[in-house]
Amino acid sequence: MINNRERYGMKKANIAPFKLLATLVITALSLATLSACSSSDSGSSDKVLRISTIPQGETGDKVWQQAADIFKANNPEWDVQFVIQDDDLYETVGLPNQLTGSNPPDAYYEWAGDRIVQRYNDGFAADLNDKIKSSKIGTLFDPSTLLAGQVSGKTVLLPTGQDVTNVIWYDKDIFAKYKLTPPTTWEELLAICAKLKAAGITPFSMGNKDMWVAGNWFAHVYSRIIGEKMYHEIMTLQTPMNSPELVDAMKVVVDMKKNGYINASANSIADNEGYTLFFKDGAAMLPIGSWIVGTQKDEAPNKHMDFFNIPAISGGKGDQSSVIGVTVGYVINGKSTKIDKTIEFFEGFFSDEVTAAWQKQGSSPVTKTAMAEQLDPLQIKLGKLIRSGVPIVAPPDTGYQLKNADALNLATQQVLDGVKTPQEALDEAQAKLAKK
Amino acid sequence: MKPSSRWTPLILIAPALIIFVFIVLTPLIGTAGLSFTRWNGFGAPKFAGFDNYSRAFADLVFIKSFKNVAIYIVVTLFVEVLVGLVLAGILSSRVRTTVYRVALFVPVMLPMVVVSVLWRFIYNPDFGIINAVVRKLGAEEFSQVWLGDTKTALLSICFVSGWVYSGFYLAIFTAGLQRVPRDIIESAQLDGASDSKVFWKIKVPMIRSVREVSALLCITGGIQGFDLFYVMTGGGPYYTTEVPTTYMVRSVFRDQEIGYGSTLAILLTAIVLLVGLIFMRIRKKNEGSLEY
Repeated sequence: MINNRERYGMKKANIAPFKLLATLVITALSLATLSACSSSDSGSSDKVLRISTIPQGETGDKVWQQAADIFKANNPEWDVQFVIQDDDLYETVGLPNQLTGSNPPDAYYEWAGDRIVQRYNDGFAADLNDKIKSSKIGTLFDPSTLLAGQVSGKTVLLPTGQDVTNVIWYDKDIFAKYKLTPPTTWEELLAICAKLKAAGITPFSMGNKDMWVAGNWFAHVYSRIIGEKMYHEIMTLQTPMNSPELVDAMKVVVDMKKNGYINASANSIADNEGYTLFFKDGAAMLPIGSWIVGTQKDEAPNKHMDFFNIPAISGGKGDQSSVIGVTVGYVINGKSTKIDKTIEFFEGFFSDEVTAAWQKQGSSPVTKTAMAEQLDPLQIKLGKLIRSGVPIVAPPDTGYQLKNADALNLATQQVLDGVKTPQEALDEAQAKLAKK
Repeated sequence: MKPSSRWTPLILIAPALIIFVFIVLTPLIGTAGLSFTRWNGFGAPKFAGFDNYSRAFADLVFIKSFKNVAIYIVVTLFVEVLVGLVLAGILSSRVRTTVYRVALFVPVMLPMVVVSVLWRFIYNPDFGIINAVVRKLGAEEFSQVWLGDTKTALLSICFVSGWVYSGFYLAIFTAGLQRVPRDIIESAQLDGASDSKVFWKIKVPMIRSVREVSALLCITGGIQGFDLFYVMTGGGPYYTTEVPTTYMVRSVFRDQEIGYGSTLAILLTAIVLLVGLIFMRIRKKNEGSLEY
């Protein structure tokens, strides 16, 4: 039997530890909250420039270092830190995380189009108009080159290149062996595919696990068929994705699938596995962008390859000489406290010395000097293609909102795999977009 | 022994408590708060009430992700737990089996991302070992796009999971089987019981708690499974290998729907807790039955 005193004593003894327990929990919670709040400010006043980018290959890393060395020679107390992330990761998850993280980059790689508009609206892209005028950068570029990196008349992106995001690369040796020449019409392309298939060679290889490879290629084909205007309207959701015109255009993918012109593994392998298949003679053609030049130099230097743009599609409503491409470059973080120093870094980055190193590496910079003197024959040809004055079609994933791009690219992937008809795939895409 | 001061127990648990608050309680409360908002990671979150919850219950991909994880758990109960049990039975009845035990345990020590990348190569339809062997044997028609086919993708992942974790359960069951008294086994053998009978009729029933813990680990681990799915298929093709965790990551990081992703996280946590509680209830019910 417990008497009142004992009961009281017990109660008293229990209250104090509970008070302590509660105090501990509250203190820890407060500390956690405080540390979470304060973390966003850390790292803003140090003497380190943080540049976020996608991989540039082994030789590209050396050029980055060269640019950093120039900056450090003039600023011995400063350091330059490169944050390099896989491009698929960077484009989707990586960059937003970095920008909102505790050590946000002072400058970061971006694709012109909807993405830089969003960055500017969110305050993550600095208006560089005045900085360009007052620094050496203004003299390094032709003003027209900077236009693609503008948002409402404000330059927010310093261009490093104009990526042709999709052309058809072909194996010159295979084409020579079977006496094939680059096609000028879609029918000729299909005839080439039929001939290769009959010879036991897979016409196209691609790694479309992440959906953007076939997404870019066929988006260009769709724009040629339905016209650039309608393509833009669909990608900006002004016109439904399941419009009859796009459903019809998607039959091109059905034909490719039906005839077995694309590697059966396409939707299960990554983009780089698709390159490897092409480099190892697993296919005669590879639909991919201009960056393959640098990859080929690193991974298959003996591969003889050339490219052609998507050939003309008869009856297509779009410009049959259009190119799918995007201007890429670096945005200076509008929230950075080191904008002037970052500009100084890019003065070195765009210098003639570093530009020459980029050209040697296989890239195609767009400074005045670089435009006047391209080194790599394939890059010269690509440069001519994108600067020939033909309409430039924006790729779904970098030119438009990611959710819209994902919807179209998934539909393309489903049709390519034969699991859905164009109508079913696009109906599903439209329904999904309508819900969000 | 009684503590010298009433503060002693609290002082002793304080470090663990503080860590728990920092790494479990705070994120959990934060996530629960975010689950009632619409937020893309930039700017201020907007209050959305229960919208995210009603959306989650009507989200066909989210529902499918639970069906997928259920299939994964059922298959892995066989290829991980049952295979681990059988291997433990075989190895514990033989002598000089250290090499086999180590060999079977090695996959458990490999980081899951390494395992996933390794098996991606093995499953590669163009250069992978499996299809190469199949082609060499002249059975081209059996070569598959293992991770890209809706019929084979999930089972291919289950197989890899079995390859990794059967060694883990082998270790757990071996420890359990070693606790079974020799005299019981010898009595059974004297009565003429075969090795197989001794294993299934005596040893296995006597390690009930080990079996239950293994099943619980397999089920809760399965619900939380992420890395294999994310690296090997990314949830594809067409959500065939989408599990709640990969869908959650897709919602938060790719679609930038942090509020909705937080809702999925809270629902997933609730389901894991519920499964754990049901399991504990079942265990409690069975307490008192014969076990060594």
